[in-house]
Amino acid sequence: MDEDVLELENRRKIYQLLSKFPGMYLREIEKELGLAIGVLEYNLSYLERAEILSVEREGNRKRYFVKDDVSFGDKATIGILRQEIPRRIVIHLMLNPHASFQDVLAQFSISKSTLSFHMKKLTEANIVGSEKEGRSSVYHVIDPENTARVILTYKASFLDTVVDRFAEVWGDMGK
Amino acid sequence: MNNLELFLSVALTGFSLILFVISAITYRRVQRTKLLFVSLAFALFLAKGLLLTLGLFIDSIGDVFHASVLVTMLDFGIMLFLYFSVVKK
Repeated sequence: MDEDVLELENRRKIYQLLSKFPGMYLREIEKELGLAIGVLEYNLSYLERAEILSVEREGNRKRYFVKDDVSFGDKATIGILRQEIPRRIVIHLMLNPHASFQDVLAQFSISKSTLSFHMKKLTEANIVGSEKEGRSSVYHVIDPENTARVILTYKASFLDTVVDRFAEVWGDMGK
Repeated sequence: MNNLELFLSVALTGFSLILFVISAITYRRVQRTKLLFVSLAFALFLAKGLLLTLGLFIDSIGDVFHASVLVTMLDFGIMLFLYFSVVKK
C-alpha cells in the first residue's frame, strides 16, 4: 500500500514536471527529480501505457510529453469539473472553505435540489468533503492543489458549452 | 412528394438527431433522471422523423405510417417523456 502511494507520488511529480517542461529526456527528468533510473523508467513506461504521456523518439533517445486531453489520476474529477455548475461550486469552496449549503446556494441562481444533486456528486467523487458545524454541515475541497490544477488546465470545448447549456435549461425545468 | 416536404422532413430528422445526441451526452455526464426522460423524448422524435422521411421514399412505409396509430403513439410517448422530465425533481 505504501509502495503504491509512493509510486503515485512519483508519477504525480513526473506528470507535473512534464506539464511544465514538455519534451524532456529521461536523463533530464532523472536529474530534475532525483529518482533512481529504474524507478523512473518503470513509471514513465506505466504512464505511457496508460496514455497519460506520449513519447517522441529521436534516434536512441526519447522525449516525453503530457497528452493534452488527460490529467493523471483526474479522469473522474475532470468528468465532474467539466460541468460548469460543479466547477463554480468548487471554485467558490476553494475561495471560501467551510461554507455552508446556504452560503453556496446564495451564490448561484440554481434551485436547492440542483445544488443538492451537485453537492452529492462532488462528495461521492471525494472532491468535496463535509463536516458538522453546529446544526449545519460545512463543505471544503479535499485536495485543493490537485483540484486547482484540473481547473487551471481545463479547456472548455464547444461540446462542453452546449452540454452545460442543455443541462442548465432542462435541469431546472419544472422548478 | 414535393421538395418542401422533403426538405422539412430531412431538417426535422437532422435537428432531432442533433438534440438527441446532445441530450444523451448531457445525461451521460450529469446522470440526472429528468435528462434521461428528455433524451428518450428526442429519441422518439428522431424515430418519428426517420419514419416520416423514409415514408416519402418508400410507399409501403409511408402508407403504414400515416394510416396506423403509430404517429399518435409516438406523439403520446414524446409528450409523456417531456411531462416526466418536467415533474421529476
